[in-house]
Amino acid sequence: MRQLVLNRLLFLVPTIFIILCVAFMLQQAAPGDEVLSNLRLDGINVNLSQSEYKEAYQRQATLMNRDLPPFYWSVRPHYFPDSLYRIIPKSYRQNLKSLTLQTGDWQRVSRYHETLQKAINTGAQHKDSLGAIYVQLLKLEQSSDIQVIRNIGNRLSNRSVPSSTGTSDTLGQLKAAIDELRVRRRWSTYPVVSWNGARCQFHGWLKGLASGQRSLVDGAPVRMKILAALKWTLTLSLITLIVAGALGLAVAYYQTKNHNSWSDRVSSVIFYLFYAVPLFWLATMAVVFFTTDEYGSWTNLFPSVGLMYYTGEQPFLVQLIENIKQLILPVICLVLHSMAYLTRQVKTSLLQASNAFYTLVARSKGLNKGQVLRRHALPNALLPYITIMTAALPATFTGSLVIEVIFNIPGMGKLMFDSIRNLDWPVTFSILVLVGVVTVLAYLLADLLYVVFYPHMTKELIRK
Amino acid sequence: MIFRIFYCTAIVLILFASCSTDEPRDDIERIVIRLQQEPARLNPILQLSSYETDLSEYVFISMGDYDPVTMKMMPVMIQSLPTAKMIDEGPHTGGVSYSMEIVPEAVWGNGEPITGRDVEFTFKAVNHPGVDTRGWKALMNDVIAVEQNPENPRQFSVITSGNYFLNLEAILSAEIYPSYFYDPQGLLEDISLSQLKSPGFADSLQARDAQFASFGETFSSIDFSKRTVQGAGPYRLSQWETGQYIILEKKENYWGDAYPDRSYLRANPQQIIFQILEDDATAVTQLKNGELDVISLSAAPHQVFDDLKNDQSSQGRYQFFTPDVLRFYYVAMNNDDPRLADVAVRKALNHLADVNQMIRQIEGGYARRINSIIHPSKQAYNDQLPDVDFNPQKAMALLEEAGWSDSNNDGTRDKRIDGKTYELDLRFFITGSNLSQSISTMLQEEASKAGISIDIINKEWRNTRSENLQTGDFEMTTLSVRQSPAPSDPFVYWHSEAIGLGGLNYSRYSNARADRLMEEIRTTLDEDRRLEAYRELQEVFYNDSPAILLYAPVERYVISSAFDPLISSKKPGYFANAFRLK
Amino acid sequence: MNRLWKVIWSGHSSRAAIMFILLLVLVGLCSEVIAPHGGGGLIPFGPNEISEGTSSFLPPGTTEASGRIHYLGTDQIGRDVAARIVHGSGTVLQIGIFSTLISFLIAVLLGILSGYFGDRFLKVNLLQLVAAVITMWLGWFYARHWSLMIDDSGVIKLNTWRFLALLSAAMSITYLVTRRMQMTSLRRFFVPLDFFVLKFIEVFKAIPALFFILAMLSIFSRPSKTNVIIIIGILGWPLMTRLLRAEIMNIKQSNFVKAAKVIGLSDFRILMAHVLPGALSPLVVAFAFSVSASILVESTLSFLNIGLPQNEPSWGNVLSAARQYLAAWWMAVVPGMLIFVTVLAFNAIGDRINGTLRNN
Repeated sequence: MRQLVLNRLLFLVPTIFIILCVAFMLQQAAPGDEVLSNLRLDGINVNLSQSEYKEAYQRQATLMNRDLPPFYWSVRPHYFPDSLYRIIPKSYRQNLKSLTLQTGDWQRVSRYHETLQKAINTGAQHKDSLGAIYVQLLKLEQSSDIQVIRNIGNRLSNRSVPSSTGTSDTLGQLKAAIDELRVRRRWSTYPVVSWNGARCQFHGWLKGLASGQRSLVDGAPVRMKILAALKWTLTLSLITLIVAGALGLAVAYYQTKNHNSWSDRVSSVIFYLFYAVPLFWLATMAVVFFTTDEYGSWTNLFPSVGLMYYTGEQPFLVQLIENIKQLILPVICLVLHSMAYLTRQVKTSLLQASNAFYTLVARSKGLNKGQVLRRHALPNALLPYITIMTAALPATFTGSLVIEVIFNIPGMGKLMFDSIRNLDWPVTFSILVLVGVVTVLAYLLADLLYVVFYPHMTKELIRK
Repeated sequence: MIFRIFYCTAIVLILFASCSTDEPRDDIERIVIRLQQEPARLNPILQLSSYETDLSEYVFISMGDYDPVTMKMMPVMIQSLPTAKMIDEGPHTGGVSYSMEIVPEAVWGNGEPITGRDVEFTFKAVNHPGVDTRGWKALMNDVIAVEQNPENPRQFSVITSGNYFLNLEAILSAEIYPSYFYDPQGLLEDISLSQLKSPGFADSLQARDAQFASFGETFSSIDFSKRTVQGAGPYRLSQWETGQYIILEKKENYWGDAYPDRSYLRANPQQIIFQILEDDATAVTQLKNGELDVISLSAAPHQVFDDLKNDQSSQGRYQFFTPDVLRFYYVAMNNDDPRLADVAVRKALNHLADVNQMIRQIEGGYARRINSIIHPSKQAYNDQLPDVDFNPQKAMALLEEAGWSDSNNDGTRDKRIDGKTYELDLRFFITGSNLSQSISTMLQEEASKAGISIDIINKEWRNTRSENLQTGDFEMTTLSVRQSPAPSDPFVYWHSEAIGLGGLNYSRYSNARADRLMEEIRTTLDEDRRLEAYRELQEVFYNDSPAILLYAPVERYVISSAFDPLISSKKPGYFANAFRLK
Repeated sequence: MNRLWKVIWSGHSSRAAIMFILLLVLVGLCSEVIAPHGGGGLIPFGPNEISEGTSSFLPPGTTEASGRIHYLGTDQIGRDVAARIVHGSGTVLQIGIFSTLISFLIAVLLGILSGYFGDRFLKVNLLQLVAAVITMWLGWFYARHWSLMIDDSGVIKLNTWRFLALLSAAMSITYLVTRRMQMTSLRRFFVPLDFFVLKFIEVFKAIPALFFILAMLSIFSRPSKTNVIIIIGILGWPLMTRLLRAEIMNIKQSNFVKAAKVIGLSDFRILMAHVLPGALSPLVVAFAFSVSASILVESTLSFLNIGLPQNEPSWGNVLSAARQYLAAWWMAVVPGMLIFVTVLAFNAIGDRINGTLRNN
């Protein structure tokens, strides 16, 4: 038994670490620039100059660790520089990456990049005399198409730049740097590994997780946000789990006892019906028909959705009791939706057990069908029941997004959905860790229950 | 088995059909407003979405604001509107000074008077490097100093460096914060605004002075965002239950009662409750239950609004309003794309957009067409421009004329430009909203008949913005613009300098004449010349057709009949604090 | 296979179910004939065609000005619901079946690895292990470098097919390289394949599905039909793998597999001739249930606004659009009933086979 617990807990850390790595990889692989997204400029008439904007970007990037290499080590083709990550914004970095790949020559690309930066900086001071050329320079910064860059370069030399501005030198250098860019793809290369150490984005995140971060959206501590959501989700899902678990077992027992009877079939069909209708539709119908008077006062069985403002500053328990009627309808929807699967699984194993040899022996001893089911078949059929119930445990922490949206419950599903969509990584990563831990613990619980109910399985479980 | 299931569903369906009844309401102490999205913060200089400002204007007020009816700037916290005075001596020579005086009655929650110090504190908070307010920072760029009157703490002048035409608007519409509350340790007290604005000063202080740096953190903390929020407005935050509701409570003995004609200071309802309901179907059900007093149905199909309006059982329960809230939609095109750089293609697409049909189909007629980038209710709108007619024949003729023909018979027109063949297959980025889905689908259908294939890509707006719009990797997208009652500044959206990472000129529109006009609009102080520039700009724009201009919708509001509401063109379209009982 | 068909055909409900599914397949295949995109078929509208006039949310049976009838009314922007449903049936079946096939392929591969070969099959020495890791790593590096392409506008794009091909080449090279390294002087040990697969499943199950879906969507950067299929397919494999593993383990214990091993048949032959056919029936059951689950997932994605775009009609997006305007019952009842009956049909087939299996 101790061996079993140790085994499971030993795997807790690597499991969480792998989950975090996977999440991190998925996040890195997503296109788009999170720093830019977090600059949140929409909806306001901003009037920032290019340099001010770059400063703001730089500040935000430092805040989000985006000016660090992503992982502890990085692998690159030999002709790439090891410090590409220092170039921000991301889109510029992508452009330089693409140019390096196309030309196979980082020296020339970086010379081009540097002269371009210089030209833009000097150009910004002489905007008025440069006019359209300045706009062309800005365009250069955003392009990685060599043809486009060449075209602009050619136009640079054709334009007569007032020599008094002192920019013609820089533009000349830029023109020369552009002319040096040649398309030559390098297919032969070898990998170079560079070690970044703890100064990387991933490590920064791990540290943040450990020290408790703040949400990027509203500045609230992550723990507080998760706890606030968790209280609703846990209440809702634990009630659902208990009701569905008890009802599922009872119904499966009843159905097996009356196997192939009229009531067995009708109840199966009804549960299938609730399973086969998409949950969001089931919930919508429930809200529309059972919370209003519109279709007759007798259908107005449940309180309106999301009316929880009468609670005041009461402790959670009081609030909970006050609000429990709010949860009735969502619980009903969730239970009905899960019944078909639950009863089917339990019933199948109950039937199997009741056809097994030992039950037949028991039957021949003169026990009636119900007694046999209770005393012999049921204990043996518990295995899938334990599996299903423990497998549902992690889901009690993630919540049901559909139900939460329709019934306006501010639970974990909504929190996770919003956090991912708002790129609020501190919250998202914390939820992932939480769910990971709960999942591992749920497996442990399942193992322990197996051992309690089926001692002969211990050996096999430890081996895993 | 299957047949039994049908039987069961039939029973269920019959169960669901029944008649309706009515229910009287009697609670009038509160107004319940539906909020579609939970605000992140109740801290005006940090918050950016309109959901947040809908709420914060009852808690925080500014020195001046737009009158709900006339839409003219009017004083709120100050005696009267200031006039610009050129400074021709002293350290701020060349700047403009605005002298103001806060009304004597104005006090904070602790009974202390609101003074020029609070105003300066607010401007300092905006400029603190640890406070994440790029939007406001940019707007306040020109504000360089606040000069206090040593004799009268309520008198002060705000000094700006340039003569940007929206400076006064920006100063007046900034929500004022109580310095005693948001900076109890006086961390910013010894630093003047002009010091803070001097280059490099704030950043170096941020780096070496931990106390100074901690201000930014405290100011952005959850306490000052959701829990203890203090403003000069008629309401205070009473309760905020995450994801559920936000309750604003009327302040006792509010000083604003001395100014009955200033709408922003009204406090008629005891409580304003914002019920956070994301789901439309759930919200409409609640409305029918009589649980909501104010709801916007603008995002729902117009039939929902019309049905309520025509429904016998709801007669007398609700009032219906359709205020115009300075919003309009257009389809942005990437003018840098080699295909869309051709004005013929852009014009053809304009002729392929059946805007009248869109208004009928999507808005049920609750909208009006626009032909320019300025909202039609504004004075600067050029109403001489004719509607672009829906005319596929003309569109095809334009394309043929410009050399776009289907030379390889793949159903899509193409053309060789600079030795490269370009097909007219354009990507149209949309958000999941019904509106953008509908607009894009309607355009796609018509365009495909004219030989332009449009590929609709449904993507989160945030990602579209950072991945496609800001990098220029797109052809078309729908944009919704909400303008403030202030004169518009097209510079940030259409000037060629606003192209690229920092700018909002996603269309990458660049026209030398338009650039000059936009610069003129920004700096001229002569009202008539500015109007003239606006008009000409709209003409240039009309001829260039850098975007497909669609229409300006009206908001669709349902408000309980118990109230006599104050409806306005200023967002969100009503003033809940000024509602009266019928 | 023949026996399976007989089992399905002999049950009342499963016969009705298979007929219904075949009908759907037929409608899906002929959707371009029944309601062609240009209009003018049996249903006189195309699936994305917007009717004239104010035509959003017209009830069933409304006749348009041109005399054409909307048999099932119109949707929120005036498209014919009937045409969309007809085209949606193909979409729904494709999503259900192809996504299940993806999880199926992963499951067969991993199921055989863990169920048939198990912990005591692959025996390697340290040198082989190190060599394999290094070659695979190099293979990964070169596969990536050689499949990076530059598109017209200078953006780097990964050529997925080339990448996969190069990666499999790398795998073969790894195999060839390590095969020659069986030195007798080095101690050999087992690679616990079964253990790895089980842990892999556990770790995958510990990642919330919602996170996975949203992260994948942002990587694909658009929710097209193929992407939705891939996402649903990847979500489904752990369950399938567990099931297949258990089945294969059972069959492996059977006498005929033991006998085949004794007479020296190759593992490949045994797998193809005995193990996989033996596991067929339970797999068909799992397949049927998985298809119905995928159909439900698709509609839920539409509800969350992260499913198929509006111009790719599916039952899910018609049904979720109905929530915008509940009075449009026709948009709810028809696709709702169809999803419902289709899910039931697949389940009925699964149940039928399952029931017969148990009785035998």
